[in-house]
Amino acid sequence: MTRTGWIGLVVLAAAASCCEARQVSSSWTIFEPQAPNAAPALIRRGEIAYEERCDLCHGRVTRSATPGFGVRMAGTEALQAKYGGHKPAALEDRTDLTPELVKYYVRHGAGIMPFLRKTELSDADLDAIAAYLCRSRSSRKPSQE
Amino acid sequence: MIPPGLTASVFSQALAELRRIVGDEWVFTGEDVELYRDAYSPLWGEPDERLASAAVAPERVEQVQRIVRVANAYRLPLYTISTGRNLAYGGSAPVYSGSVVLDLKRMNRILEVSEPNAYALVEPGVSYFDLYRYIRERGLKLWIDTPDPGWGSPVGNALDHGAGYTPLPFRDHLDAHCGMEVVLADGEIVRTGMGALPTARTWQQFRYGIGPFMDGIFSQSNFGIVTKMGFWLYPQPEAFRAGTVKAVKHDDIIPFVEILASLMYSGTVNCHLGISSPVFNGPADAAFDALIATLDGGSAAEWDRYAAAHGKHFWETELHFYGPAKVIEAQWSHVQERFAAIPGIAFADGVSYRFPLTDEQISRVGDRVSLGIPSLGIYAGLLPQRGEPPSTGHMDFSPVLPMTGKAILEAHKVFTRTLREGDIEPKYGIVQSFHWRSFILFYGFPVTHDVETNKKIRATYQKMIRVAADHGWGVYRTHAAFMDSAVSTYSYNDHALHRLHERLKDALDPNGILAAGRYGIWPRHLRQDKPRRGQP
Repeated sequence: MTRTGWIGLVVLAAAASCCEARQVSSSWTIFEPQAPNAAPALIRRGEIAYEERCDLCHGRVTRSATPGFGVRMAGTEALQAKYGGHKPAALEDRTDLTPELVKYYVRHGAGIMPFLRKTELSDADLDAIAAYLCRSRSSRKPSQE
Repeated sequence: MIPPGLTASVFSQALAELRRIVGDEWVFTGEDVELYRDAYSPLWGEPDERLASAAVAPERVEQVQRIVRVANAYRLPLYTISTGRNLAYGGSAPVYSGSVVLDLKRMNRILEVSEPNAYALVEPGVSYFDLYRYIRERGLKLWIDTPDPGWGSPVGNALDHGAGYTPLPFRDHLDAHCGMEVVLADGEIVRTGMGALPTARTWQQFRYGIGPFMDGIFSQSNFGIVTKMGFWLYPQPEAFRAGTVKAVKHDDIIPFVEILASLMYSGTVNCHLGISSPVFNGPADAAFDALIATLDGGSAAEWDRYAAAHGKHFWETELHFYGPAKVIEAQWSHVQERFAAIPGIAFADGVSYRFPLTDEQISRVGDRVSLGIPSLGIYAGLLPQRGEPPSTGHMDFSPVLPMTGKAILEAHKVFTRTLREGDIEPKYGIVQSFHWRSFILFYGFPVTHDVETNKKIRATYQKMIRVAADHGWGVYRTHAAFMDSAVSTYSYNDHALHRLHERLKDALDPNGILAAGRYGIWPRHLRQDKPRRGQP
């Protein structure tokens, strides 16, 4: 099976593990994530790993008032273009992610984002990042909502 | 996939040996091997895409030694990567399909950083981010030089002749290295330069040691596996300032570069710089296409009329100055005096900094790499703009030009015409100064996962290599898929240099287990299929 061909299976797996699937038509399914009960230690490990490995491209854009200043973030800009503001562009601000989708994109890439090998980001660290990005609303800091 | 020449049974035995060396967890097979594909491959999904058969990730040099001995015993082809982030040049995929990737990412120790003598000794799995954080956390008054993006390896980048953005010699990464440890194909460890002295105290301070200077043969090659490398670091300067110089006319580039070269050769200007042209790098229209298509690519007068009609000046460069505040102000002042000889020249002051910067100040810096701060910000510039087709990566086409305005003009016209004949819109096409005493003209070729689009891109890329060589401009580095083509253009005296590389290969790696095909160097048993003397 090709990597592209896995997409459907991964999304289905996401539905089975931590999301409630709501069938809205014969061809589209919306997945609504439930708050996973990840341990605080795992979430903290994920936050650290996220900051080291993901935030450089997917963080909140921090530009000063001067045009051209502040580092550009490809992932955030790409998601802003994709969703046009209908969803938050910074991953930490998303509340609709599932662990499976996070892990899928890290291991398969998207557009110019390359996939990461297991020597770069272990499965354990990836689990932690997924737990961090999918943590429950109640465990988020006010600025993260 | 099974390595060519091995049976499934023998391959399985070899993998079992590798597992005994590094542990089951660090030998990757099956779907994990897909993570070693070149994410930016211009051959994605095609039969010629370069694919690994497996990967093995040692943690210590002793394991590397044992792995190469197993590879010799089984004739197992290996392909070494450091952090595997050499995107645009082949990424973590082998040149020779079926190779087992020797992934050194786990060898990620920063072995020494000396503040008083401004050097670092690192393993291949260390990234620029790792080294930067190490120095920052300890408050050392040292800068690294980082390429853009910064998730690659100082070792891997230097060995591929990569470069960054702070002053020379630091930004020419091979030039700023001092001392290597290398595992040869037979498993023997060699230390170069002063490292050969068992009691050495200057391994990272005197490059040459005694006898032939060997380090260069381990770059862009496959003669050994570099497991440690020293680098000279830049003592934190007191201040930085930027300034832009703009020239109006097409032919201004001649005195513009003449003055710039004089300033660079004498050390007054020592920064990375790009010479961009709002005309040549701007969006093309019908008038642009008509001029480029003419026999001479458009006269100076015609281009000046075009630029004036579009309200554009022709050339500009941003210069960076590093050092004591008083000194760099004097340098910028002197630069303006020199350029004032060109009628209509204009100057603009840019940002300035005093160091060290706080974290809050750094968060507002856009051009981080010019301050030796790693970033991934460059990827935002590679995103498809409105109306552009989506891409999944890019390749760099990067011929080396003499430092003259005439060469820049000629190269812009020659390559723009070739690109437009191939219906390719590059992401950029900017002359840059990375290494000593030459320019590189970088064009970014977008690649996709669409086979037909990639075929078109490859055909033009191939043609560009040939066109460049015909004009005396060799490429300094290239994607794995084009290494044979690029090396074949360096053909003086019936490819004497390439044949020397092959003689070295035969002597140092007689079984041909290391990185077959890297920069056109194939082991003897694979050489007969390669059209070294053929045209790319």
